[in-house]
Amino acid sequence: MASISIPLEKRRSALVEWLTTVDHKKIGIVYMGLAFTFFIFSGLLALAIRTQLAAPGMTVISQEFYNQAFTMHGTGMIFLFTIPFLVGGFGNYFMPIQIGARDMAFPKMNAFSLWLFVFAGFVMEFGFMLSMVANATGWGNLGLGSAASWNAYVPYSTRAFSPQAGMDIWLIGITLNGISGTLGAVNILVTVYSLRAPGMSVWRLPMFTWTLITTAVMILLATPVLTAGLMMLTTDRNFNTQFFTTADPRMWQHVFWFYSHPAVYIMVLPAMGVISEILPVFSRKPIFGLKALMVSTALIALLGFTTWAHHMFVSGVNPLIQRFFMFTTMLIAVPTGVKIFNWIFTMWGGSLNMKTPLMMSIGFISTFTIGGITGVFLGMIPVDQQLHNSYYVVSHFHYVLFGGSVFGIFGGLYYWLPKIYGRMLSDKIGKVQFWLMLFGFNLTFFPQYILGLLGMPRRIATYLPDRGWDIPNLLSSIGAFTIAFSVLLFIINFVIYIVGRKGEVAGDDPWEGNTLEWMTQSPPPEYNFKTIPVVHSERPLWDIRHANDNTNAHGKH
Amino acid sequence: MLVNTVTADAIAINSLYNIALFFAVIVFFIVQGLLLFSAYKYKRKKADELPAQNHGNMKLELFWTIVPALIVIMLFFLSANTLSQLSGAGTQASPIHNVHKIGDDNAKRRIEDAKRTDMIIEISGRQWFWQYKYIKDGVNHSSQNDGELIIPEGKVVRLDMNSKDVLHAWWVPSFGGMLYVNPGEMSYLWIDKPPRGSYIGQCNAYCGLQHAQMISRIKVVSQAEYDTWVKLKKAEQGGVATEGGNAERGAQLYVDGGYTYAEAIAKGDTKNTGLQAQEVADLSAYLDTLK
Repeated sequence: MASISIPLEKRRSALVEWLTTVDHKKIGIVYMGLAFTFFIFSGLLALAIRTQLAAPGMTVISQEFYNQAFTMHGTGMIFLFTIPFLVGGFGNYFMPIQIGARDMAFPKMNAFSLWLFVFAGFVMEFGFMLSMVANATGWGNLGLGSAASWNAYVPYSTRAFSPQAGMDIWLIGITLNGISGTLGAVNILVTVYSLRAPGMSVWRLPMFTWTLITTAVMILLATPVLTAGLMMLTTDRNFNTQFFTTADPRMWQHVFWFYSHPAVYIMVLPAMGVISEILPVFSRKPIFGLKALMVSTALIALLGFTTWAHHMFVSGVNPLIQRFFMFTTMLIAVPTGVKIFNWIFTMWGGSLNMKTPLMMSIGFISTFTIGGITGVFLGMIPVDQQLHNSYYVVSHFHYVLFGGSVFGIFGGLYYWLPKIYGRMLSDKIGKVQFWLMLFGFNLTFFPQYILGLLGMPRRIATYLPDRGWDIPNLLSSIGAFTIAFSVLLFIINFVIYIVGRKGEVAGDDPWEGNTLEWMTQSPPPEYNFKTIPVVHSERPLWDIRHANDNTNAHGKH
Repeated sequence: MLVNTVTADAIAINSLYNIALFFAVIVFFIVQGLLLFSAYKYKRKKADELPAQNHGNMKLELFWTIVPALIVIMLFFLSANTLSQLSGAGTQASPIHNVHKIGDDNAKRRIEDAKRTDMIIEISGRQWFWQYKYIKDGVNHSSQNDGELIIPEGKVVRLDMNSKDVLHAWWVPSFGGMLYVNPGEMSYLWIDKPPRGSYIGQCNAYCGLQHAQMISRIKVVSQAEYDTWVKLKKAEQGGVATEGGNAERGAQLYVDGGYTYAEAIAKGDTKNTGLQAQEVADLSAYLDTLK
């Protein structure tokens, strides 16, 4: 018998596969895993900070380490967790499936973005960690950490006042991170522009994809400005250039906030997209006012570029210019309010499936609203002249970024992990986690509003007992540990029910989803779809489920 | 505001805050109320129930666009109004810029005209203390070693502020208002007729290692007490007791003031450091031990 030899494809080891993959789903998973690791690490730094501040005059950690800790907590949470998790993680994994594509437009560039992000994160954190260990073990001060706070205000961040190498390492890390993010944004925009399934017009884009596009536009316009600024500061420090050292003292602040204000929306818009996916599915209703939501997202992105100098109301900016920024800042509350009411009215009159993703989304709306309202206070110049840089501000942006983004991320994880791994997380543990997190979050951050009103500045390593700040600080610290415990519950849930395969098998569509990711298998096969689906409305799966009944009300918009 | 607001500026900011709080509380209860109500009322009762497929409601959506817009526009005008009531803020049409480059005489003149002022205190922000220079009375002082900024009651005090190193920010919550203090620039704030009492403030722009210790204590006293203090202070500064410095106390001073002090002593010019004569002697003694 003649034998035919078929050359076998050489199988690669799992490690090589994960390191060299250009598959958007695998890249998304690596993003999520790493970003979550940085979330844990930056969260531990927050615990160190809260332990130190639990009582007046504490010396649990040295003042030097405290200053590094809040610097790295902020930069870690922003650049290494929230943005990469939402844009690199959820974005990479779900956006192509949601638009019916088989991968990103530039898969190799996608892999490059990922590994640049990994390298940048390594650069940012490694020196700091080494310094931390050296300090703890008594090797002395290596000076490899940055202690200039996340906004690295000039002149403190110049060579004259921060001579240590850690400052340069930090600058280079953020620069590389910015390049990675910019490449990712290009990839997202090109993918959505060119790879949508037939029938997917602009108004039929899933809300998460829509928020991801607006986010990508913001990244594309804002991040290069910061990246350029960081490079200029680096050369000022190392090659005696004079971009910032002899400039107006507000020059760096303008460059920094021109990126960093939009960055807030970069961090929160995709999370808004996540809950805009969850709410209609778990309410069994279409999203209320789809076009208003999409337009308000775009308006927030647009207005987000016109408000940066509200961070500089007490920096000495010309008062007429300040009034302009006060107006734009207060105006941005309007599209934000539209979103909040549209979300609530998506639930209104629906049939609510009270599972963890929905509860996280309700938590998002509740806490984010408080963050939004206090943002209006801080936008009012006279009030900001009293509360700028106080704990009121710290509380405000945590209500936006934890109350918003982190609740959105956990909502998204409970919603989408069954798709990624094919198994359900425990809803019971999820609900316990939700209530603990909601309680711990408010216990941590509500007292911080009080502290701000009592005159406590941010970024202080300790405080005196005669200021009346003891009790709110103690409550806040207890809250921080409650949050930590709730996150631990998530990890336990993940390890037992997904890694340990204890969870129920999810099937293709465990939630009666609306968007295309629920059409394919869980986990999705390579290249996502055997045949590219055709889209007839913004809820393609609803159309399939309700193809034969009269309740499909898509005719009347 | 939860701090004790004592000046006209602080009270004006406080009432603006309270007006905004009134609307904030209403919005808060409406949103949380609607949210909790719908979460409670519309829980799924039967597995196969199918609610009406409502895609939106133009009238409702216009309502919650226009009403919040009106509220924030109102708050904008109220803020602008409060802003022009604050000390030295100028008018709505031509507000006064309270920060200028050192040596900008035109800007300085506008500040001089902005508000009638009884006394001027020059403040220098340094890592990590404040130096006070009483212009008319010729007295130097500093916030080191719990040094208090002594102010006579009922006077309009102008603070002419500058930084000798990095950014700092002057903030005494009870007086209302905060301003960055920048190198190469003058920043101006007014303390408008403060009542007698002790107040406390703190640097509010992160300025490095001991940022948390850059505290400013303010004591507002009667005119008579103030005059006595000035006399005492002048007598202290007049004496030249450089003999008999204590190196141990000097070492502590060096830790507090560091290079700034050492530099001043090396140059033989300690006037601007706020150091007292005895302290200069102590520091010199300590620096001698290093040679």
